[in-house]
Amino acid sequence: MKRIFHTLLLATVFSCASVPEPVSCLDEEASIWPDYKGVTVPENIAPLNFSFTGDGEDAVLEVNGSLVKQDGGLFRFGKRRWKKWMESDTLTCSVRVLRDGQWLRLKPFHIYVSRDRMDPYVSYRLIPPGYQGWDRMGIYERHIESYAQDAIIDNRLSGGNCLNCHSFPENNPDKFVFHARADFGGTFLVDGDQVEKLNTKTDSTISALVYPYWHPGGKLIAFSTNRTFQAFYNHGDNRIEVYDEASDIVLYDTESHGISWSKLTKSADAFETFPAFSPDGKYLYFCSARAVDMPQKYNEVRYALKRIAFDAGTKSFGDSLETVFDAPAMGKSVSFPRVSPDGRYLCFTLHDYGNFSIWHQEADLWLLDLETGDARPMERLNSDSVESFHTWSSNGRWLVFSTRRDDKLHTRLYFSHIDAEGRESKPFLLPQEDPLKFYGNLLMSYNLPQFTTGKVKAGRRGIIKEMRQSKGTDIKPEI
Amino acid sequence: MIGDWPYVLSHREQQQLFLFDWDYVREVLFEPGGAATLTGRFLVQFFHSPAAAVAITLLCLLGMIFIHRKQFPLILVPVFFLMASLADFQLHFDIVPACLLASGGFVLWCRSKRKFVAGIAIPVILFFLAGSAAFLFGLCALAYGLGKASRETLKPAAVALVSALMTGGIALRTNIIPELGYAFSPRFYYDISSGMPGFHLFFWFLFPAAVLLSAAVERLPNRKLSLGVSSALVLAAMPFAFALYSRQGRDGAFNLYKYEHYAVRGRWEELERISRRRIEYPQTANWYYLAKSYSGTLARDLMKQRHNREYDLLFVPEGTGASTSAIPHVLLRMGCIAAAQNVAYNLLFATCGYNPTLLKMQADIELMRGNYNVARKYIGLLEKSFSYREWARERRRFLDNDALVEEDPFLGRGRRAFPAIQAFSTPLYPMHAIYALLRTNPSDKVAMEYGLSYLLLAKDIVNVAHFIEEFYGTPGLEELPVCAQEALCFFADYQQNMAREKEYSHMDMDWCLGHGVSPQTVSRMRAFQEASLKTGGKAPQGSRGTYWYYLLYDDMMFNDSSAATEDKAGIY
Repeated sequence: MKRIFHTLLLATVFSCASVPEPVSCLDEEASIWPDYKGVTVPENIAPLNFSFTGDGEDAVLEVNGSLVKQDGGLFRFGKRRWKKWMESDTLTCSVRVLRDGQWLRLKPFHIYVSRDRMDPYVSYRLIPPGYQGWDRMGIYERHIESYAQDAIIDNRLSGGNCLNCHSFPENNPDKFVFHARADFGGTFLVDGDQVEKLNTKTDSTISALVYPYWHPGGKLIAFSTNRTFQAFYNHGDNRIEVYDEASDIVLYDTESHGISWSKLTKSADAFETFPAFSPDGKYLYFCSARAVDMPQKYNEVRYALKRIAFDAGTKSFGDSLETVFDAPAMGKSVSFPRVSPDGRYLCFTLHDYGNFSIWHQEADLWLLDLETGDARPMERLNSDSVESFHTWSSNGRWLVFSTRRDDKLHTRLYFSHIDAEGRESKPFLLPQEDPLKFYGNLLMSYNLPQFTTGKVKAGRRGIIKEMRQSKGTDIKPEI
Repeated sequence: MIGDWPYVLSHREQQQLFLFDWDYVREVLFEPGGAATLTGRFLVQFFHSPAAAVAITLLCLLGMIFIHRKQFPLILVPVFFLMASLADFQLHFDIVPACLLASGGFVLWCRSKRKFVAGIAIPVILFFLAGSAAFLFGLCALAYGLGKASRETLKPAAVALVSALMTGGIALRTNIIPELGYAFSPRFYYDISSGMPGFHLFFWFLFPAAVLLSAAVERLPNRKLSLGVSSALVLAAMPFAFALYSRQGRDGAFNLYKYEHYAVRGRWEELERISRRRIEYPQTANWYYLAKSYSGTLARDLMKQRHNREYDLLFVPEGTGASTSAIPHVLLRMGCIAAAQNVAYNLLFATCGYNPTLLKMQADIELMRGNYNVARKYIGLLEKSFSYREWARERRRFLDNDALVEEDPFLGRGRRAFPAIQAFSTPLYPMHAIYALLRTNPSDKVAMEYGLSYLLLAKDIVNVAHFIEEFYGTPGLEELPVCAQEALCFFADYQQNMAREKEYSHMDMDWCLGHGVSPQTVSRMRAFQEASLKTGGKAPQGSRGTYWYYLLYDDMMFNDSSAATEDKAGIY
């Protein structure tokens, strides 16, 4: 009540222009959420509205000399004003608070604006965090220049089934692949207006096709095949362990509907998973671990980062594997290798064991310089919770990743600028109109974020029709 | 059976959460059918009380009858069938406000002087407000036109139906709905992940049928005859409606709603009383013994009933999706906190989302875990609800306060239940978690009772002996229940006289007497053994109700090969 009264008083008695200058400046950090202090943002990002979470004090925000009133604690920036601010290199922000009848300025902070634009869309799945049950689920795309989110495909139209593992070649929104499980199950390849359903289980593979990665050029896709299980811990921060009892990597040809492989990517002695092509398509990176008895040795399985040469013309692999990062030698395990578009860097997740790092609180992002071979943790991105599921923007200057840092359960999307030398900036949370309220109410997790250079144009109707009506095309081994 | 209807309705309150939050309201309202959905959810939040559930539902149905009073009494027929359909909780309560809106639209159209315009506009508006009720309106309009049998009425009626058809077709074309059924039938209001049973079409098409028949009956020579024929039709239809309702409740299916109702409200004595009637079903037995664990009589009365082995305590059939499942409640009570959370979470999101009881359970378990940020989220959500805000506000004091959590008998017990050593938990077999809990906290009497009872019902007397050896004398097991005494001295006698395994050689009668077995139990066992010899392998008279009878002669395993079991060999 007191708060409402003060707000009204401010509004009626003072206009923004007439808020008195602060009596003094404090060396006190402003308590804001999300923490956008010191972040670097692209010039085309939506306004970074945030809330002042101080002790119910009246507050006003000053940004580059302009004052912004709070609205129930929220500082909301108008589009036009924000766009104007994005023309400058730095936003200098300071929160002024009213204490004991005096206005005081808290320690200023900055938001840096980069001329490196971010791809305008990021797609992701929204799901309840982990576990087996779901009701509503979909693959969505968010326009990062506004707060608009649209469903690419929503399981309300497909009998409530599970939609997963969406993947776009080189951030191209006109082509993508995803899987559906339970009702109308299959793999769906969308290319412009064409939608094709594939039945991807064969006698030569241990499962249907799972984790995809497109070869540049968009005709070939590397898939893993996995016999995956999920177990639940009786205690501890890592609630779930997702493990493979077996896994391999195969290559799918979208034109011939055939799959092929190398004995080096599909062997009984090793678990091969998480394929990722280099941007020039000449190498296939993947994670590989010595096969062990699972689940008994779930905490002893450790994956190294390997690569194998690849010739797209002949669809053939090299004769030998190269170990790119020997995580097991460190007593660790890697997952999700992702090469930057310029081929210089490779970002991966490092964790204590296993492969499904999104449930490992200790999982951190690492950056490998493919030219020098040096690898280091991305300290500015990592937290005491998991960081994983990362992908690069098309210009290689932005990284989006999922993290559970806010409450250790629900994954949220953070973005970080990566400069040409591979230095990361402090990451910022995907902006929302009222982020405190939005994320406070949201029970879903963001899963597998991917940048796209434009909006997905493929109509849901065509996808749903193919999903519900088509028997699908059987894929076949070419070996 | 009719007495179950209040509980069947009340169960809906456990399937959803209405939040007094503008973002929530806006998100629902701006979806097709949003007004009906929002109204349905708003009303269902008051179904916390079965009496309120019945009152609100009857009020809505009376409203429908009032709106269609010109079709009285024939309008009772679809209403009765709708009442029967409402026994299927997967048909969301949105159907009721949707039908009300369709009825309202129909009456508006009937009274309108510009029926053509109204006939075009009303289906479009209705679709966005109430979903496929737009088609129901179109059908009623056509039925009215046919009933009046005049061109002046038939043409606009046909226009209304065509408008409804086109609206549905456009919705399909633009991916607002996935298939035709959603546009023209109650499918729109049915759970998306389940197929809708065909009988729900009865009330749907009986609405326009009632309109048509009313008009036809009106043409009879006199009013008395009209009334007579209408009443006869209503009376003829009632048994069918009742049969439809009863069919859904066969094999005691409705009882699960009652058990849940009492459990959710902590009315354990009543739960124990009503579930005892159908205890031969493992799912019911789970509820029964859960209630008995609250009165501390679980182990004491274990041999008073026949059993489906240990499944009577915890039955996890394959594909468990029923939100009336006792499983999360039982697991939580046993102290298998992580397993309870796992099951509760799956049920929470797999069944319409936002089961408030399971959301409360999640909040509590996150408090036990010390994950205050997540607990805060759930508490914040529940604070926006009507029935749970007080509970949520009370829970707020535990946030970020480890000392308070640990002092609380329920939350503190849960926190202590998390074992020190991490391992995989499974809802299928709770003993791993129970052992881990008891080794951390042997004063937990509830877990002790469940653990011992589980092993006894599983006829795992080796592990019964080990269990007693490990825990007898601790605060959680200061006295042995009679059935456990019977099991222990039987095991000791068997080992001493027959098996003679070295590792159990110390477990003789003196040992048993020092581990909670009374001399009277030993005497009774001797008498049982002598009597068994004389009966030539049959159960001695008067031995029912003893553990020996259960161990040697009783096996009431239900014929369900899908029941999942785990290999329980070995000692823990």
